[in-house]
Amino acid sequence: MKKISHKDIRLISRYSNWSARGIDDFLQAHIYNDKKAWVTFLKLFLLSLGVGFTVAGIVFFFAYNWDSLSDTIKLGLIEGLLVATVLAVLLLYKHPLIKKIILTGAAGLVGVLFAVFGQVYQTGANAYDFFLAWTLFVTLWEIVVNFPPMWLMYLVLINTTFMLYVEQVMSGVSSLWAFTMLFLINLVACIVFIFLSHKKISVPKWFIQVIVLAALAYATLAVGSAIFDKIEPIFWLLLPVVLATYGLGAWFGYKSKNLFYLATIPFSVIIIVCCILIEMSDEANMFFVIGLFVIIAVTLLVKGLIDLQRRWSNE
Amino acid sequence: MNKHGLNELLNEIKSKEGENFTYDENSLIEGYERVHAEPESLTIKILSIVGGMAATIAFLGFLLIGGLYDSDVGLISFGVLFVAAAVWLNRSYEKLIIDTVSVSLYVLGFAIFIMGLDDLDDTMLALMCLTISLGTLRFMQNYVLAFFATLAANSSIIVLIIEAYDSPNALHVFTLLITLATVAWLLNEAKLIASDPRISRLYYPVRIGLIVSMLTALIALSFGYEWGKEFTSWIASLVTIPATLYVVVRILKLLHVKDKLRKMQLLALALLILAPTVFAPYISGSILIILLCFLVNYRTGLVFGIIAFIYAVSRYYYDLNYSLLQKSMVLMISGVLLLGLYLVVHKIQTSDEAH
Repeated sequence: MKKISHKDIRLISRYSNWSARGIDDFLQAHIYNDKKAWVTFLKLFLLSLGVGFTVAGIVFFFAYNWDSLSDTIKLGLIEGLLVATVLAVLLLYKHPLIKKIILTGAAGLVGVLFAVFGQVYQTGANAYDFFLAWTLFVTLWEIVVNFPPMWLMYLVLINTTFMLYVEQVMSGVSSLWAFTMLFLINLVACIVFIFLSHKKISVPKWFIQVIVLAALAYATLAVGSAIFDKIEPIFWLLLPVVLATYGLGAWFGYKSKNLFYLATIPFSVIIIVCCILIEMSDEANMFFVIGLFVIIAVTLLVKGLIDLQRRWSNE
Repeated sequence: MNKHGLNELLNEIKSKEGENFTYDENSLIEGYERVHAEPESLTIKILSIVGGMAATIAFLGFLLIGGLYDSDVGLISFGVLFVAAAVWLNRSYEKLIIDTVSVSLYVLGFAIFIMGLDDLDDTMLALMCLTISLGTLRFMQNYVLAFFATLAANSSIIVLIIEAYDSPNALHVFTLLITLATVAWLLNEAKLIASDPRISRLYYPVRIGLIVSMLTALIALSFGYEWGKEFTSWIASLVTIPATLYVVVRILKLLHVKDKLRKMQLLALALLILAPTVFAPYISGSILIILLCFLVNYRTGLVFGIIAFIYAVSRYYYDLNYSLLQKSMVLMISGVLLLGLYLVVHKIQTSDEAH
């Protein structure tokens, strides 16, 4: 029997005299978790908790004794841990998912290593140095290990490095410029991954959606900065790129029957229009106009999306 | 599921229920078309909700800046008007689009209604909000509105309890009640759905509303000792721990653990694990939610429970007044105990497969 949803059960119960007992039995048989699911769940739960607590205990132990450890031991410990995890991946474990998870953890350890390095040698470097080094050193692993959560970590690192760089080194730069750059960086990431996904490397949907959201967020922030602050030369680079991207993105979403792009891009446009409206006047009446605009625009958008979806599912 | 599947399902039910099973075929088919006409898409739902919220904030801004704030009578009347409009809109039209508008109107109406009455005694205010939210639940069964109405009702109840029982421990009383309510609601899905069509439509939104309220109460409890000496941290555990054990009993039945002695041993083990958390009911509470949601296969609740649990454990260890060394010992011992439990479950599994 195909998947039955709660809506169907409720519907039938409403228009029939299905007994409570009958519904309960049905739920137990088809929807609630059975013994097998419970055993798997309990094992996973207990294992993660057990490992998590034990590791936390060990970490706390070292934290307690940290100051009394010599520098050599501190660095040696982390380096040893790093080498051990990589060796474990190469030699011990067969299951690909476990290997990838461990390597992702190892990439995190690289960051810990650099942090300890910075603390031991009191390099007093700007934080962006630390993130930059971390990013560069895990690049090779990123390329080799085909693991989306690790890619996500990598993108977060790149974004963080850039943001800290702007904050600490290029402090004179406007937020418009910073957001534009961040938008372009994430846009490039989007394009790379969408391209890869067409070349038979499987890229999970959620991953692309997260990058697209990030790029859209920065684009919206960038245009917002331009509206509220001055318009600088870089705006004339931003505007055509944003227009082209939004247009292409919407078209792409339409062609591939993917609601996500067709929902988020127009929503970003709605936000931008609201920014323009607020900039025009921040009196009470404008808020009323904004409220009205948002309701009408979102309603039209939702209606359009529902119609589209219905049309696609009927094809 | 298509119509063919629907007929299959009806036949299966009939074979289990017997000859007395009757159903109203026409209404069923009509209802089926209606329910499945709106294709479900998380993106669209989120868009509607976010759009509704944004519009609400904008309108609130309009009212505040426009000076409506000064007129209490104006606020009250507009508040009631908006809430009524939201309810009416939702009753008259079934489409998802209406949700956007009516949700904004509802929340906005409620907010300005409260603003208008802020001179009033808190108890009276809470009673009125409670009446409005319960009334909403009675008259309309729209998903998102029912969710907000549940939250509003629970907030009103908290305020009433705090006003009546002037001590920080009031939150415990609320937690006790909401835990009992949540457990009862989640475990009686079949009975509630079979009872009244109105309650059956409210079941799912109220479920998530109760879970969110319970988790919020638990997390608030975790900030408890910042409220002074009067606060006793263990009262809520009087309900959360027994409730958790009750769910464990249910799970053991499900796992076909028949041997009485085995059952007693496992229950004792569960009690042993929960006992140290007696001063932190937010830990046993979040475990309760995780177990309950997994029991009824409710993924959203499960995710919330897990996030709350991670917060609870982190908070517990953060607040612990031991040195790092002592904490590390406690953590390692707990870790080893849990790994031991894991091996026990593993043994149960392999011994079953051997049979």
